[in-house]
Amino acid sequence: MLDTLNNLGGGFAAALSLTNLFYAFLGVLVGTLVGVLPGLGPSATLSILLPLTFSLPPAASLILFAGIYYGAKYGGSTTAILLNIPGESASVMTTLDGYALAKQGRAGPALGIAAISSFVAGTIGVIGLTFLAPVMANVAIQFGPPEFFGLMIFGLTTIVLLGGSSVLKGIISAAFGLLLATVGSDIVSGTSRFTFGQLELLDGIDFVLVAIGVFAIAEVLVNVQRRTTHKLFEVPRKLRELLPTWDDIKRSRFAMAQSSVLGFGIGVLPGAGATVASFISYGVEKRFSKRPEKFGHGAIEGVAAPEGANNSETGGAMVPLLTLGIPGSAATAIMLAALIIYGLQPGPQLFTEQSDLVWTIIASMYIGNVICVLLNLPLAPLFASVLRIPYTYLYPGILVVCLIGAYSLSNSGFDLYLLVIFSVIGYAMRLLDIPAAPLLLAFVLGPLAERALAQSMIISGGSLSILVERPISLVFLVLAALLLLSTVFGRGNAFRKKVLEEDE
Amino acid sequence: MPEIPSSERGPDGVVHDAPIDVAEEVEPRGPQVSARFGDLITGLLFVALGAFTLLAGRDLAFRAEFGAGPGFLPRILAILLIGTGGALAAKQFVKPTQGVMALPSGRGAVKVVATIAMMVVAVVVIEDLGFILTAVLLLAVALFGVERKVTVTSGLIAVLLPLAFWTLFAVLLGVRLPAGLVSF
Repeated sequence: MLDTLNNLGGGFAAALSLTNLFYAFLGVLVGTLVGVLPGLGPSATLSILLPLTFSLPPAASLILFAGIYYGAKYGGSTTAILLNIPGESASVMTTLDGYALAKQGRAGPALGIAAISSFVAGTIGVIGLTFLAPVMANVAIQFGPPEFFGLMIFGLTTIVLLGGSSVLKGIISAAFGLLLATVGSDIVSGTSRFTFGQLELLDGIDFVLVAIGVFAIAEVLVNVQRRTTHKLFEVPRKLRELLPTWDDIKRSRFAMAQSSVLGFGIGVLPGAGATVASFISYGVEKRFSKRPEKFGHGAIEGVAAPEGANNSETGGAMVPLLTLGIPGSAATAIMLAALIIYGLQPGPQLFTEQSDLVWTIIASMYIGNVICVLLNLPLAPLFASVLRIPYTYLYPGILVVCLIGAYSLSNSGFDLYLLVIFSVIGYAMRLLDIPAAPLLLAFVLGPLAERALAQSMIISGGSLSILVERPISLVFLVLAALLLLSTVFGRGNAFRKKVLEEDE
Repeated sequence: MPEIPSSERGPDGVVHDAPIDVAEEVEPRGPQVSARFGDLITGLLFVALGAFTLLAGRDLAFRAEFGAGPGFLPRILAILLIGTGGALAAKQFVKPTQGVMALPSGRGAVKVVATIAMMVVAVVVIEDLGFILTAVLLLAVALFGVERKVTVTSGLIAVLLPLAFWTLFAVLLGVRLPAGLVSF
């Protein structure tokens, strides 16, 4: 423990100079501004800005990189709250309550809580990385394909909680999302599925197209239909009303606490990622909330939970990356490339052979996290003011940015056609009151679950029994079954009670 | 079908037109269908999607040598869609969903169709005309045509915003956008 603190102190000594603090500030600022742009999530932002870091000394590069990463993550949540455009899959949950709060004139508090929760949970995540890295690395090793499949099934089951008033529609939406995810090449055999002869579909459908079409443009179409001729949202004039209240923070405290732990724990598991962390945290918060009916309609803790988990996951994801050299997501894969470029070789020997730079990385994560909240909390009212622009002028700009986001994926006009198709699908879903979040989340989780299942069956020689023979996998599957049953029968009980009350 | 709210009926039973405040947001009072009918259609649509999936994926192997074949998950999902879609449709005859669904109509519907059409045209021409020209056209049609905001502000936005986006994305961030006929 003492050694750890000494090493961390050394890391801070290297990281805390005026020059390095400037680079941290610059990284957060640029990361946030680029991350705000719809279609450019943290992974794309990191890859675009990575070359900026090459000309600097290693410590400064790492600090700049950490700043960009935290800034980009926060930037993704900004568009989720203001415009219902999730910048990355982990921001999908933030749109549910964040955008609802924006429509109620509380975009500023939503952005503020997102910043605060990100800071609190992110700090706890880095503390977890500091003290628990070797222990958690052992946990990560225990996770094989069957355990991963169990986790994915548990994650998919929490989607049922997001089905709004209709569990059936939630399941339908999720099944549709899973089906869309099968378009492309089968991961084991390489056989093309549902491509209908289109070569562009062999790699599958990109998440960004589904997210922008089903969420952002569908929202634009709904708003356009409402014949509004002036600004869509009321934005308070007073600065105090543009920041979270003490009551908001009080309501979010449990969300911050549980998302810190869940986000870190899930982030440690290679491949789980911020998406799984964010919506499991959201699902847990909703499940144990005293006012679950508020979720999806502007519950401030519905923003705090996924944002906290999203940032805490960063600390967790660094555990397998630094200790095992295993990147768990696109963003950490870019980080791995960056670390190698900076002269580090992630793996078991990293903490012994290159401890100076490792602890500088960890210290820079603390610094990046602090600067992120110091910069973005005051900027929240400014970002919220974007909503003062009359919607008549705002939505055409949103459409153009969506086109940019879609085209930038692979410079393909075909993607733009897909974008239009998903926009129409999303609009139709809104008219038919089918929730979109389950579709998007299942779309992300489906391929992960299918890959894990395929790997499990290869290991077991084709038998599914491996899923129940492994204890961790069995636990997740049982939890999923209990969650599903309690949700279905919980709703059934509520209906039964209502009928009984009406009979009386 | 829901009745016209009685507050709009005078004591003589005749409907009186209420004065319209153009500054207020106006919710369309167009055609509506019962939520029961909407959910029935929804259920049947997804049953059809499930059936289509079974048909389109009939040549995909269900099992492979060491486990699931390429058709394993799609077939399960197709059955799930048929089952849940059918359940949703059947539920409407046992415990119908309450409420109504508003359908787009009038000017709202026209704007939605126009917006989608604008996007389709933009997508068709963007690789030939280039990003800047396409964005200018998209913004111009949206502001002048769909929204009927024939103002200097609209003109400035239609021209300056695409230039700003090109500068930010293509020039500063290096995002590859179609150059087309006009670029820098």
